[in-house]
Amino acid sequence: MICPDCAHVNIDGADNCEECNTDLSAVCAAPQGLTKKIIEGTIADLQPRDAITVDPRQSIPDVIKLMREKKTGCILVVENGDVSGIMTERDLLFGVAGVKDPEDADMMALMHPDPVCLKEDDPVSFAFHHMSVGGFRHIPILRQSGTLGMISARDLLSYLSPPK
Amino acid sequence: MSPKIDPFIEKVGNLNEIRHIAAEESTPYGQIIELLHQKRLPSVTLTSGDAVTGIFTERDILNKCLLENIDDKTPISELMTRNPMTIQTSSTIGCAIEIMHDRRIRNLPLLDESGKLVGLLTVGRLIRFLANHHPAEVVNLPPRPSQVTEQVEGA
Repeated sequence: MICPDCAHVNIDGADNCEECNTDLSAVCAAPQGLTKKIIEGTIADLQPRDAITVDPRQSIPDVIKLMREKKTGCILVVENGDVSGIMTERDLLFGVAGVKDPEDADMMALMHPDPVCLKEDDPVSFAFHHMSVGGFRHIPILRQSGTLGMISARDLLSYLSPPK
Repeated sequence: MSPKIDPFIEKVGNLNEIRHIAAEESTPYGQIIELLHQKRLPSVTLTSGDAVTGIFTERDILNKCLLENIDDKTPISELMTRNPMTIQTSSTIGCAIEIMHDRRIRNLPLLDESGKLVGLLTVGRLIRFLANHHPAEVVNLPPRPSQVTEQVEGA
């Protein structure tokens, strides 16, 4: 904890500066470790990968084939350049498997419309919030370049965990 | 609760609310899908006696079942992923995250010291655990970034 008056480095939690006796009770210790990563990190630090996108009129069997080919569990539904929905393998589990033939399934009924999207310069805490409180495992990222990215809960965990 | 304790050295066995589904590996596919729908969970851990022999997740459904017309009576042992990675209750949260990252998996069956299945550790559960350690930074945010006001309102 650095004294704002004399810049002496005091131990964290000290009430008064050892050097000049200035009251340090209002001086907050700088965030460290996990707290620092949550507050100061940005979405770009999570290194979003390119999102896999589909058209809302694409058939569900074609979308399933694409998800298999790209080895992804989540796709973005994009119409006229805007993200109109998100669909994950969980939606396929609960909406198709044991319920209906994939040929008869409808993208508009399966997807979640208007998903929460974040920007690359948003803080990591926004992604953390939506994943913990909202229960989302994937969040679309609107890149400055105009392309779409995606981050997953596993990307967030890997970022937050201390280096080996 | 002290948020200053390093959450990564916490034992995974200390986490509560670890819901899971366990079934014998001979259970038919149709019954497994029913179980997943009833419990609203993304995976089921398969056993033979007390031993964990496989896991069947939403990814297996995507990759092996949705376009293949699987007969409901097919034993799940023919579709499951065999010999899944597991984690002991005495392992740390940091260790669980490392396994999930390195192996690119989201579900880890949780075994006690005797090797008995006691739960399932998921990515979502770990996210919620870390969020509870930092409620001020994570939980208290407005639901949409656009709702953060840049200026103090009022007269």
